[in-house]
Amino acid sequence: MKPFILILALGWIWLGKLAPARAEADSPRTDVVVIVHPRNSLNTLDRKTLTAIFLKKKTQWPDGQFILPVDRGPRTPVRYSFSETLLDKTVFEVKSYWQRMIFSGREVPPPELDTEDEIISYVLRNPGAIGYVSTSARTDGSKILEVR
Amino acid sequence: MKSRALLFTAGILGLTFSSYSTAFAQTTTSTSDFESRLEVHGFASQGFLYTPGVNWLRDTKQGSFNMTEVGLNVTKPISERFTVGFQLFTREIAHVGNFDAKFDWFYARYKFSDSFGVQFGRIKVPFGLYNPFRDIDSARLPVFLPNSVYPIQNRDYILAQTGFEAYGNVDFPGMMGDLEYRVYAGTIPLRVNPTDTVTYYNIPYVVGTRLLWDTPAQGLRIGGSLQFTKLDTDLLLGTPATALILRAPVRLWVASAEYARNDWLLDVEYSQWHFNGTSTNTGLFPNTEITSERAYAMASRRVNAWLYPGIYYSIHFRDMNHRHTRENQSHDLAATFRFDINQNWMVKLEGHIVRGTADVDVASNGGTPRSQLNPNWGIFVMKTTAYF
Repeated sequence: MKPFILILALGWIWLGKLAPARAEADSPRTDVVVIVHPRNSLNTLDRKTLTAIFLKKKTQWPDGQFILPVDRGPRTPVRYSFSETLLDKTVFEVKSYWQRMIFSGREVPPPELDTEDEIISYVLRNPGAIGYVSTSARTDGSKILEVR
Repeated sequence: MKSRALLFTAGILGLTFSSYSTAFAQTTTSTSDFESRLEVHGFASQGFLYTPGVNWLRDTKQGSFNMTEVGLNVTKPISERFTVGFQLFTREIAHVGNFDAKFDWFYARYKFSDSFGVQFGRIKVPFGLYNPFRDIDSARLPVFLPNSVYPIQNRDYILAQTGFEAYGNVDFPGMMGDLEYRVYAGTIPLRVNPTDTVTYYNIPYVVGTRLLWDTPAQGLRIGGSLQFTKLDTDLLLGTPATALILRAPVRLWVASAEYARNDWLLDVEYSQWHFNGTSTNTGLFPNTEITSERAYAMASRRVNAWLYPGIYYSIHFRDMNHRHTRENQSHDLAATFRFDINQNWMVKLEGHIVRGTADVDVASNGGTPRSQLNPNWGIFVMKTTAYF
């Protein structure tokens, strides 16, 4: 048993030193913009608040409107970019957070939509919604927020 | 037979929901995206447990496939502020659980604001970093959380309480981070069948709180949990059998720290559990006041999309004033490898080297006292979980 445990521990140390610093380092990236409904009164948002919104720790806009965040699918370049550059968390960290919330009955995650058109449609349909798309997407009347 | 059926179910769930997870997890059917959304999630696990040296739990010394868990939860927002939900759970781990299906949690929750909400029902107890999801394999790395702070034998006493909870998240101004608080009060209803020795068992109350501070330092959380509860027991002891009443207030606390950064996760927790039992017949059962000491440190790292290893070292002293005997201590060095086959299916391999018998179940070892059991033993476990 002891040699087995030692091999497991050494293997872990080796993997920790030689593996890429970020688990999704090889995943493709794309520039991202955050969008909201055109009637949203905000023009800018800080990253701390953005993170709180997508982890559902903040659920209301300053005017009292309930916030409806929406995510892209977990293995999309725009999701990787949004999570790592704007939330400063890996997709895995966020998914782990939601696993804990779901199975302890605390909260449920934002819906995940497959395409940018669906994201934009969701945002235009819901005055409290907030989502994100690539910079090359046609935002079609939604409002782009500057993230500081 | 039950284990094999559940293993088959776990495998089918893993294959099926790896392709259709979104469709099953969320059902949204109308343009009113909020009101129509019903969340359904579930999991099924099957494992093999082997503990050479001692029976850590019943029959584990020879290896056991009695390691099965199945859960299903449903959450429905009634409005932006009001949500209801429940989770059904059943398990058998080395004859603990017996596949008794029960409501793991159920609640009605009303959120007044981000900083204040209330909920009623059977609610997972916020104790330490991991207690609310100690049964959820997909929500953590180790198969077995450090038994010092999250003892598998005491799960029913600390997992959930039936009562009330106030909770919220307070955002501090400036760059001071934010604070999550939870305050609860209720009881822990236990179904304990009377035996020749124990004729009555009750937990009349449990009250407690947990504070978790997301500090200004990126990735660092610091917290503390405190709980007060009471164990009431009526016993028949001695020859001839004589009734006595044992009343034991209990105080538990744990200090927690977590650092998460760049795929690394570091956790450290230290805890003391204080038991103060008074007996109506001290000749048969003496008054007992004892404080146990418990701690662990854990490090893990997400290496890539499919591999997530980690290690921890855990210590437990049943009586912090008497640390030296084998039966009073447990030192546990553990290593875990988690393999994520896809988004809905994972496999875990885990091994432990343990010194000391403080955490060994006496009844599972034919009544042999802990002082006479092998002080050097191990745990090896393989487990697969499908979830959506």
